[in-house]
Amino acid sequence: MSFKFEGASKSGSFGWYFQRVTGVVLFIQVLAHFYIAHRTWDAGHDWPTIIARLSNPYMQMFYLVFVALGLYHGLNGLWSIIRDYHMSEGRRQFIFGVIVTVGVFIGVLGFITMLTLPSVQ
Amino acid sequence: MRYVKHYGTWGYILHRLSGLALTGYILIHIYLVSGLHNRPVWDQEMQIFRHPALMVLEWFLFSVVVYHSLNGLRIFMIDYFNGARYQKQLLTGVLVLSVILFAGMGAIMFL
Repeated sequence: MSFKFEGASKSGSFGWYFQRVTGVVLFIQVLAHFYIAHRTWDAGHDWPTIIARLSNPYMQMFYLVFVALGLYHGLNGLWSIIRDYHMSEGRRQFIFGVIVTVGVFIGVLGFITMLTLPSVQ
Repeated sequence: MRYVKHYGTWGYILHRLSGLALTGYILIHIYLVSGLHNRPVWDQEMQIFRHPALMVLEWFLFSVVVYHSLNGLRIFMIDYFNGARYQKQLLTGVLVLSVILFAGMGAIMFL
């Protein structure tokens, strides 16, 4: 089937489309993240300040989404760069497996960090 | 195989390189932030990040985020808002804005 006259946005490629969607969401989130974490020197460096801020469930929700979308967008981008190079099917699958494993591992680590933070003493 | 490098190709190359750098950074960043679990670990990490060389790297990181974000918007405009007609002007705008913000952040951080 040809998509020649449909435009890339209608070709039905979910990965392509979702990379745009996550990109736009991340653009807004990154601005918010910079403001939240670097508004003052303490905001991003002082342990009690950070722990107090992240005890807010809305803040945790923001960062769970940020971690998930950021990792997806980054690793999907990495995977689409790698797919541009010719390689054997076995090597493709191996690299894909490594990318997914790293993504799941770091994603779970980020979720655990955000959901099991200690409280301020 | 070699492609002819038009003006827009450099935007594409920079987008890929900055994307790779940011993907590496987000993995390291999430790993290091998990140090929040243990205050001494966190304080030690923050001590390390006060090093001037790492602050310069942070400055570069900011500019990489800025370029990738602005060029990402340019790609969005090319895909959805007929931006292909003026993609060269858009790339110039992205580069000029990136340099201005890079210089501005340098002034905020180091002056």
